[in-house]
Amino acid sequence: MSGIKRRLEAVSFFDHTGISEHLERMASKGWMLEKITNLGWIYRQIEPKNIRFAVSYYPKASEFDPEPSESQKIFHEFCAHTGWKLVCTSAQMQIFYNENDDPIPIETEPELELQAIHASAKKSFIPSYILLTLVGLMNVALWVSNLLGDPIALFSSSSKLFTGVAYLALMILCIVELITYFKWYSEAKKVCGQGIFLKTPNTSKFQKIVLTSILVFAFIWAFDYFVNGDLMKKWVLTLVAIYIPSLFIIVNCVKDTLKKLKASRGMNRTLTFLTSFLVSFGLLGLIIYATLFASSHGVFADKNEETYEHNGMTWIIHQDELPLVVEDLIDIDFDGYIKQHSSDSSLFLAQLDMKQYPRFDAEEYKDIPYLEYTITIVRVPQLYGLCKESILKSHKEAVVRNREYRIDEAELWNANEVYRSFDLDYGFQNQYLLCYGDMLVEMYFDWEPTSDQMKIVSEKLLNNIE
Amino acid sequence: MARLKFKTLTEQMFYTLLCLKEECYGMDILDRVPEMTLGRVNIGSGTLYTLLEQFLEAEMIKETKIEGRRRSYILTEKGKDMLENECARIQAQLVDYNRIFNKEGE
Repeated sequence: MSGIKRRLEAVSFFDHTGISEHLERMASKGWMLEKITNLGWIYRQIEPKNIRFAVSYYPKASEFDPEPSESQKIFHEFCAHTGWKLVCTSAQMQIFYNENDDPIPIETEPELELQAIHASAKKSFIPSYILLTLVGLMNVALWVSNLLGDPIALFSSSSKLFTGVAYLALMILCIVELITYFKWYSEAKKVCGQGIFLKTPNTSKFQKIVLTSILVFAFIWAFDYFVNGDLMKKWVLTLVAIYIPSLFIIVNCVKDTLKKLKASRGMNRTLTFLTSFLVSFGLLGLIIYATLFASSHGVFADKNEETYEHNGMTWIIHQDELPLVVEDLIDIDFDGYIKQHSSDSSLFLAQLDMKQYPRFDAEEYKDIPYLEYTITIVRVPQLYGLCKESILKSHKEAVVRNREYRIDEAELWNANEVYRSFDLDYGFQNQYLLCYGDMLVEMYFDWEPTSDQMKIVSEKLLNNIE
Repeated sequence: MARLKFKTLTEQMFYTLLCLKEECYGMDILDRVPEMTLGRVNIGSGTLYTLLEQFLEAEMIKETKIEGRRRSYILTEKGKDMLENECARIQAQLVDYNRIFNKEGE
């Protein structure tokens, strides 16, 4: 009987009836609550027994108190007098158990109980949930503005998708909790004068669904990052995976240590907030510094990567595999090309950026033709129209140019649709948007492509892109 | 909400004040009220704690002794007035009740 169990409980601060019933079920299965920490609720194994639990609220308490105040201890002694033994406290929440079959409840006046719950909620639950709602709202607004501004970048980035979903879920969770509380409070206030205790609503299942969804999305994101990401992405993911729990543990340790040292509530609160602020920025700075240091020391570089010096700087000679190269289109004998490929992808979209340009130190650098194209692979057909419109719109709205895409002949490119960039001052440009079945390709040529070259482009793209 | 302007008293408020006609430890009220009412009225420990705090704040009772965490209290003049007003209200209700039913019985 010495087992210890740690559980993450999805309970509402105000749901004292739900918490009591849950603890009664746990005790009947042989698990007695021992303490509540920020890293879970800790249970101790006992002989299974049917005991009564009650959650009472002591508004004057704070999670930064070094120990219960004298008046709080008097309150605990009053409860002990009627058989209610203190299990543990968590800020204003005071949890008791009673081994009598039919004990006198701790709260026998619903009006007074409601006052205590509301005073406690105003002190902790309500402000923190409002703050979380605002943080969620701010991030969701940012996400929506990304969605409207550049949906391709958003849908092709699993990390942007994950953070958007996580903040949306967090915001919904907080709003639902706040609405549930205020609805219950308003109804309870109406009936408490008649001596009626209104049972608190239980949102546990809803909370579990939302939290599980966030975890599932986090797992998909991390998995995608590890499987499809390059070395740098893996490095960043690993550091973030260390950063978040470290921050949480350090801040909790500071708070608990100050409690043990009997620091006053005010001092503990100030130092804990200061620590969380400094440690969060400090660790973030450390991550950025470590990443830059590792990057500048070639940790993320391909071991076979060559470099060259030009104008006092070191440039990497990328030799990535490209589905279409200048040499496919033009008869050219030049071995100083840089071929660079970068990509981002999610379950919805993949965006591949391809560039082929001469080394900066090449003779007649400016006369050597180059090629640049971006391929968007649409994995969810419903997003095709949105992506196409986004490319057309962003081309038109580019600040430095006065251009727009105009319909062009699609047959030559063997595409469903083709658009060609038109500059209102200089006429047609050698920039095209090619629309294939599940692929959108934005191509920039250094020259005006011939119909034969157009054919080669379509063959290469359709055959070489999976 | 604080019924508390204490214009009327709930049963638990009434008996808590009644116990404090004489000096009494707060915690003892938890036993005295059921004794006094033959088990009809019980006061929860949390409820009593809050009531004592509110009565003190409203100066209806005052602290007489502090022995560690044990504190005793007694009614103030204001508290006595409150109790008397409540008794008068209950008696008036009783008179009304008897009058109405006696009439109906005739």
